[in-house]
Amino acid sequence: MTVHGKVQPNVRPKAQAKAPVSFYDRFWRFFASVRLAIVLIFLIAAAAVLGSLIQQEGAYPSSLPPEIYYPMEYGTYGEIMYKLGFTRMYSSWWFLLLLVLFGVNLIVCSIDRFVPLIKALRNPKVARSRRFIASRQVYTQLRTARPPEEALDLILARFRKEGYKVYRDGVHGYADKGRWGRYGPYITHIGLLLLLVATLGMAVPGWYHDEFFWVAEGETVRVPHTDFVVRNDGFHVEFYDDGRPRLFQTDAVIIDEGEERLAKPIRVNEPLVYKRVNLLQASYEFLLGETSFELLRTVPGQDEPVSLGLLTIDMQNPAPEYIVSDDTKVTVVHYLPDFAMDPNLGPISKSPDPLNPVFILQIEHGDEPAEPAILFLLQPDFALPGLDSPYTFRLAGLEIVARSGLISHKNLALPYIYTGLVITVFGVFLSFYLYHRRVWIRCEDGLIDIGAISNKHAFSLERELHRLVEAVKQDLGAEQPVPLRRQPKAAAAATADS
Amino acid sequence: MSRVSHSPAKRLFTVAILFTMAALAVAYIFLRQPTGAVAEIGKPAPDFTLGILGGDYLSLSELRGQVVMLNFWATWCEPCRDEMPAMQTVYERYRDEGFEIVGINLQETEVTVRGFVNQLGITFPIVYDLTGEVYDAYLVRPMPTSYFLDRDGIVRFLFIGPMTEQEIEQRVRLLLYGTGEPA
Repeated sequence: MTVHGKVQPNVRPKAQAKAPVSFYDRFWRFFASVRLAIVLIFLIAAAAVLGSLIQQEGAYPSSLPPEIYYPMEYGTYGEIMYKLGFTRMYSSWWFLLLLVLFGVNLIVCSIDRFVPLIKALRNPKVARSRRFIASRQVYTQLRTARPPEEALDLILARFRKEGYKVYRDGVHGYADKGRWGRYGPYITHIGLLLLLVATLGMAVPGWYHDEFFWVAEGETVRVPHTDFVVRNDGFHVEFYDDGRPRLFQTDAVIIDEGEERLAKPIRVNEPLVYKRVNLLQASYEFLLGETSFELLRTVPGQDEPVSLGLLTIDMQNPAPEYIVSDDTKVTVVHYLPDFAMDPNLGPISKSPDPLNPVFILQIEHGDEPAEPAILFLLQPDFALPGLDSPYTFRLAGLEIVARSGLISHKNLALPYIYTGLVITVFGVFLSFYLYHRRVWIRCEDGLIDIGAISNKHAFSLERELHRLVEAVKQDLGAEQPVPLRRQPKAAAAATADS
Repeated sequence: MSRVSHSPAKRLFTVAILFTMAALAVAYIFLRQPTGAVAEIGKPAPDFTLGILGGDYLSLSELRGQVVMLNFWATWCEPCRDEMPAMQTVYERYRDEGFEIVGINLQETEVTVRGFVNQLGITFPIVYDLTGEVYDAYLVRPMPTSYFLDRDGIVRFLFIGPMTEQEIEQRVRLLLYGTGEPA
């Protein structure tokens, strides 16, 4: 019996000695399994879900290290979760192992199926039996008086005009269109693999960093993770009427190896780029700069205190002593940014932030021995009761210094990540929107069998064939004894090797 | 099931790709640690040179040969304040035996630190970590954190939180003499 136009030998090929299964073959067979892919996808998804439900390291509101925090907060469960690595889900070795295994699985599956697919699509079997054609998804039969060769010529010409690739074998014809729809999944896979490799590539030293840093107006600061510095030549902020910031920018100058290389304002969403590092405007704050006070000394017998001069303190960098005038020296005994009284120690600071700055001073004037004074920044004229001091202060001037918060960001993997995503989307687009239509034609005894299948969009296939067959009928002047009908997809599935 | 036979070229190509991926994955896991020395028990303590209160600079390596307690603190940190008197006591008791305490202050002004030191009568050296780099190298998160180094500069103990006089003394004796019982 002739099947597929070829003689199928009814005997096993010469008995092959059972060849030892090489490691490579076992490896390949294991990773070519779609079942493995499903298992891996499930595991990765489960891990991702767990990672959303379990409080991850770096995201919990405590400064304790994880090995202490988790057992403390969650007891035994906490300790188990921490030991298993569930608290750093996405950077644990087994999660990455899952991803790598999945990547390998994807590559092997793709090669395993893609190579035969290309081969089969390039060398289609053109000659098919009537029974084969009649059992395709969409089938019709025409009748014509023309000789078969001529009919086939006209039919294939019509298909070619409609953008089909046509093949011919005697009185058999084959046309197909939309092959790229079949390549879609493989292109998607390539895109995903590129994405995976690019993301892993971020681990290569020098490829990725992201760090916030402050630079005050006038200050020059080294950009984190780089070998150049940035100078803040000025910070500007504008507000809307309701108080929200409308614009803030830093006039930044990049200095590399002693020379100014680039001067550009950095605004939100308008970073400065230098040597593939982005400097982004992220935040700002206003700080007290130089603050001036008039130093007043009460003199016995006089109503008004005498001004001894100006005490000017740089709040960002208070000095240990200040010369107010020729005969007046102020020594800073203590500076407390956030003043409070401790029952045991006396004056202490509750925090590093200048929320209630207090200076404890000793002041020498003329020949007098040093006398104590306390300066409360928020209320300079406040005289501490119980402190026997002739000195008071009056605010004379205040300077506000702006500090710009920038982010130093670099990610060399980004272009590859975008490329991977674009390729993935392209692959998905192909898979969904293009469908691979295959038509077999057979002319014999005045009857023309036309059968077609597609890998998806069966309804579109039917409509397309209907249109084409009407055109063919016109071309040939043929009749259609068997109208176009749609049938359940043939058992001989529309796979690559049929 | 494997459908095709694989040419040597294809095998080589596949293996090359798989190897690259595996290599990158390994790199991802292991290279994403902070670069530079990091403090770890049993390993040599990362060296540093910081400005010292009342002087120029102090390098950790200068203290080789002594038992060193590195105490990471700030004036506004209440538990740090609480343990200072205990530290001062143990310091006075054992400094002649080769014990040194280095208080590493986090990013405060000299005026504030000096005021505090005078207020509490601290005599052990205080240095400034203005950039926070030493804090990062020693993985300090909550304060106070104390590291104990032996005479060879190896990290022996780590203690997070305020320490009592006994707790400090026990460790110091262990490193000085090999036994932990107080005298």
